[in-house]
Amino acid sequence: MVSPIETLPLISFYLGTALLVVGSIGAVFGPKTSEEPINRIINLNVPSIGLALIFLSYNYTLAMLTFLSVNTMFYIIIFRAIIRLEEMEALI
Amino acid sequence: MDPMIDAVVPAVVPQIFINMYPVAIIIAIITAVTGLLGIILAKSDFQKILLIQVVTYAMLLIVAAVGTDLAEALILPGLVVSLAEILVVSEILISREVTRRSEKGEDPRKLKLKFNPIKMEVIKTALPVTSVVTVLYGAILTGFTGGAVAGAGILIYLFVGKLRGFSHNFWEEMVGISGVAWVLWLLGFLLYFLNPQLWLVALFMSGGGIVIKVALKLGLLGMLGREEFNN
Repeated sequence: MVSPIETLPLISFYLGTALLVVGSIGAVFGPKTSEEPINRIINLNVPSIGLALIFLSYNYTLAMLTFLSVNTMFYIIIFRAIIRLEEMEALI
Repeated sequence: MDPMIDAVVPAVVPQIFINMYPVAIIIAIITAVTGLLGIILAKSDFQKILLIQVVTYAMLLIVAAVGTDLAEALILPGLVVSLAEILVVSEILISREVTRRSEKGEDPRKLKLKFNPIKMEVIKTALPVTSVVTVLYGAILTGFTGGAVAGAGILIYLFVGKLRGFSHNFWEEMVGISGVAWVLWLLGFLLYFLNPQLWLVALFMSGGGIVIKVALKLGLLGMLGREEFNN
């Protein structure tokens, strides 16, 4: 029997945990992540979506909103650092 | 219910969150071990910053597994502070590289990329509107979340397009206002304890103070980016 207050949080929670584990393995051991930081950032999207789903299952509305907006700013900061380091031909 | 769980867990926590707790902790430990393994194997310092993010996710899951409002109250400042940490560490990496190149006698700014925006109508017209809407929505939200949302709006305005709007001195003054807002936040918290009957005033003081503080700190980041690309 599907009930919105008992089944839906469970679906969101287990989907989130699966994405978190698979995504973190992908971000750490994924193909070409050690050469290209962009690949690693793209793989990092998967566990972050998993964590947002987990926050959703716990009813943390504000935490989920802040997490999503902070993630956007994380990408801005990291891409700025990548641009500056690539200009100087540093080892990334 | 187990009497031990009954004694430790408060009554406000639903049964479903109590059942999810062991799974969440095990998943968090697996994720943290994966991330730490990656940090050991990573070669450069920059890759380590990215992998610390995986460990941060595991930490947030452990805090979130508590399942009460306390967890949410702990997650919000943790997110904003971790953003500031990443900003600081990336700045340190960049300035270390500049110092290293200068000591070797190279010019570190030799290969400076040219700022070359894409010519599209929608970039000129839509983004200022988006930034205004984001700042207004952040001002309505208040608190850490509102500060982050409004700061994102300021960042969008500052990062996009050519130099326009406010002078450098204006942003210096904004930093001063950010300090005043921080004091307002502290005074609001003090008022909670000194006179709890004035809780509404204290709430507005602390909520308004923190939104200005966080938003202007993120606007400062935009100022950094503009100085680099436009001088």
